[in-house]
Amino acid sequence: MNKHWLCSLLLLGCGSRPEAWDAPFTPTAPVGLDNAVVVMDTTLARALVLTSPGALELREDVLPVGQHVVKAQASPDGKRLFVLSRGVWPRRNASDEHPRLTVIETDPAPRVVKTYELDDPLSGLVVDSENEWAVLYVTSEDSRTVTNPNEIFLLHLSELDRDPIPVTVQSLAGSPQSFSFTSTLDMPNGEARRLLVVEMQSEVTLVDLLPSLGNVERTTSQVTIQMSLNQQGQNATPAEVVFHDADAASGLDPQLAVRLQGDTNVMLLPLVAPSSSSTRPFSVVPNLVDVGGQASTIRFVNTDDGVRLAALVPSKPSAGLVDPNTGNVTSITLAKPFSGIALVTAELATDASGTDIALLWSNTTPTIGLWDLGKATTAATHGIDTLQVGASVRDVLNVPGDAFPTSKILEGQSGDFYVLDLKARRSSPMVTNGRTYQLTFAPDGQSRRLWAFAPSEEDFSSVELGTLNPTELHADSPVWNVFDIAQSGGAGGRTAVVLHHSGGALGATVLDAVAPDSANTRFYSGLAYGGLSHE
Amino acid sequence: MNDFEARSLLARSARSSAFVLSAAFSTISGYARAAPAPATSAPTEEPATNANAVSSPATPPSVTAVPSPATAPTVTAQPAHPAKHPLPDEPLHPDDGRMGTHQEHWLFGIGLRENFVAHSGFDPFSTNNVLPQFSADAGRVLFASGQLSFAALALFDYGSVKASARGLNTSLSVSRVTAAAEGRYHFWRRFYLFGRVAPGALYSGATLSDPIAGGDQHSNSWTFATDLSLGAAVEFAGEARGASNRPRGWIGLDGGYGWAQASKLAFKSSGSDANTPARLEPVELGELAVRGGFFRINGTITF
Repeated sequence: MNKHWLCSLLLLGCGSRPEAWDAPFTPTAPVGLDNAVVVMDTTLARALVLTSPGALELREDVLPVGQHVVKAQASPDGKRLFVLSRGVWPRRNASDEHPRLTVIETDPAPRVVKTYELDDPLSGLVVDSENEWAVLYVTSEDSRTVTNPNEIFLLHLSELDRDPIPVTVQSLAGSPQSFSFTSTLDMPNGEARRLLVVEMQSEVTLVDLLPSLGNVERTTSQVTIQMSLNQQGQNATPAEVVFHDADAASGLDPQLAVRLQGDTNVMLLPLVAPSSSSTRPFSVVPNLVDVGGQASTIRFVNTDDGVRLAALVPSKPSAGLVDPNTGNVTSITLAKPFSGIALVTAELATDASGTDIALLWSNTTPTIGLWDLGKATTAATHGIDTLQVGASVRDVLNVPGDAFPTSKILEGQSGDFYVLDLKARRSSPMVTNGRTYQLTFAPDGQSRRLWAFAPSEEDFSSVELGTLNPTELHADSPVWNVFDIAQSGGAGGRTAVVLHHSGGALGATVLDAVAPDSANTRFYSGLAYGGLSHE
Repeated sequence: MNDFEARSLLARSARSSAFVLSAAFSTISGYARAAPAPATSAPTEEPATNANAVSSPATPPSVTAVPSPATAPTVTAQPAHPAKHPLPDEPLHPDDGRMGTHQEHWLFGIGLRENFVAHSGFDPFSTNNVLPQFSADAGRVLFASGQLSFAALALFDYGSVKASARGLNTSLSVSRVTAAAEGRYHFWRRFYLFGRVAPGALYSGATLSDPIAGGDQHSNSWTFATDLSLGAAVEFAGEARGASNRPRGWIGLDGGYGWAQASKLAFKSSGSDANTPARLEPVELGELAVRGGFFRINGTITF
């Protein structure tokens, strides 16, 4: 009894504080969701979830995640956050945490909706753009004694209670380098389904994503296509994979096409009917086509002559239109060395011809083009209209939401950016002070604004996309990142959260995202302490 | 044993302990020169009239420790050169055996107080639960009856701690001002136990250094506080005579629980710094309650 008293007294007197107060604050890059901003507090294995209950208000919730977070990624719809963690390694005690995947949702309130324990650490995560599947995979950062680099786990996001599906990707020599998902494709044999396309060093493997498939069936039904030999006599490396669904009108099978790195060939992969004795949904008959030069990008397009694979060859400059049925190539000379292509048919199509309209841009010349593929093979100009912009284009961004369907943002190589109105064929320059700005939007596009900021600068801008009126804004601390989120109070308002991070400090300037004004802000600091104090 | 006999015993015991403590203290402060032990210096320190006063008729006749009238002339007849003619080791001022100023006195003390603050609000400011404080007190015994007495005191404690919270500097200073009522029981003239109730106010000033908020932010508050403690004090220096009005030295040790109302830790900028962000919201770190067990050791002078 006396001992207990003594121990209690010592504990009371000399007890140390919780270790959390001594832990440095080392966050990962913040992640934006529809109505929240999440910062991973890695040293304390927790997620700091910032939401805005009302105008200029900021609320902080703290959610537990696994120890040693390696990746945090939002779902494309901005509704979920996936957090991969390594856990405790080496595990010496049964209580030592396993690697895990934590799934967080923030609507109506931040919470952990599911935690998956994994046997081994994984640091690769890809989420399907249709929010149906996620892939967990091994990367070179997952150092182990024995590694199966082809082991992946499929997570069916509409069935979170289902365990991750283990699949070992077939490969002759490589390991997964990148993943992409097809849309639902009509199969020559069996029901329509989606495919997971796994790009490896010199192969492409197709994994069947039919949800009802058993684990063994899914593994054995994979199809691996080895890439062709390139000019150096080695198997080429896939650089880009695109797909097109079956077209009953033209008798076209569902197609995949692979652009090869450093090669003038593209590989067509029609998914044809298998032999009558096979139960497989398709069979692949690869076809190699030379497009006359190294393609910078490829895309399936609907032209006035049917479905074609368009391959842009900036070095010539030209575009090769490949007939997937025959492999014939129609080469179209381009006025400029266009290197990028995006289909804008939905935004601009005015007739029911079914042909596509594509936006072309160049990373070397200050010209963009609108390509009416309905005139690709008949008109003298091949349907291409060009428009001068102030700089060559680094990237083209879509404006989220439905408010500005015909607007695209062209990021210039010089740091300037341009708001392109496809319908009016007009490009409006937004001249910057020479710095390369990061551009961001509300994930749902509801604020009708674009935000431009340069990390570690205190000044940033917001552009109202309707009037193209830029608003100069100022934060009283260097900007780390800017997010435009929906308020969680249900009033329909929007809040811009400008994050600040320095040393062990995390703070945020909060302003009205719809009518931003530097004179109408609130500054919140001490966010790294969230959840450490007790009322 | 009646009360007078007990008091006599206590007096003898106190005299011997006082001698030891006085000798010890003399090596530190030289204060022992005021005590009666070295007969040679006594005449210059204490007029003879004082000795006469000790043996005044008011002194109870049964107090055996009081020197007889016969010894008094010995003191007054002390030779001019004591080194050549040492006298017997007789006290200059015989103990009157009374409580006197052992019990009834003004007092002023300083000391160290160790607070053990286990409240979570203290965590950002200290790596452990200890809040060391400087302590000062002053007061007066207002009432005495037998071995019991009651004192009123004013106490002031001040201390500060520094730490870092997730890499950012923090500090907390705490001042406690209390008015105490103290009940004492003298087991001996030079030793008593006491209990103390000390309500008052506590001021806490917390600082958080936040680089993105332009520098230091502060959270200051006054709260109600009360100390409850028990302790003991021993007189280590001072004349045995209760009637002596010379200063006495005491060492005291007390411990108990210091309660304080919780205050909100809401850090705000002072507003004077140009680097402070506009419309800076306070950083809320919950509540702070500087409460918990404590002990205090202090030295007190009474007179």
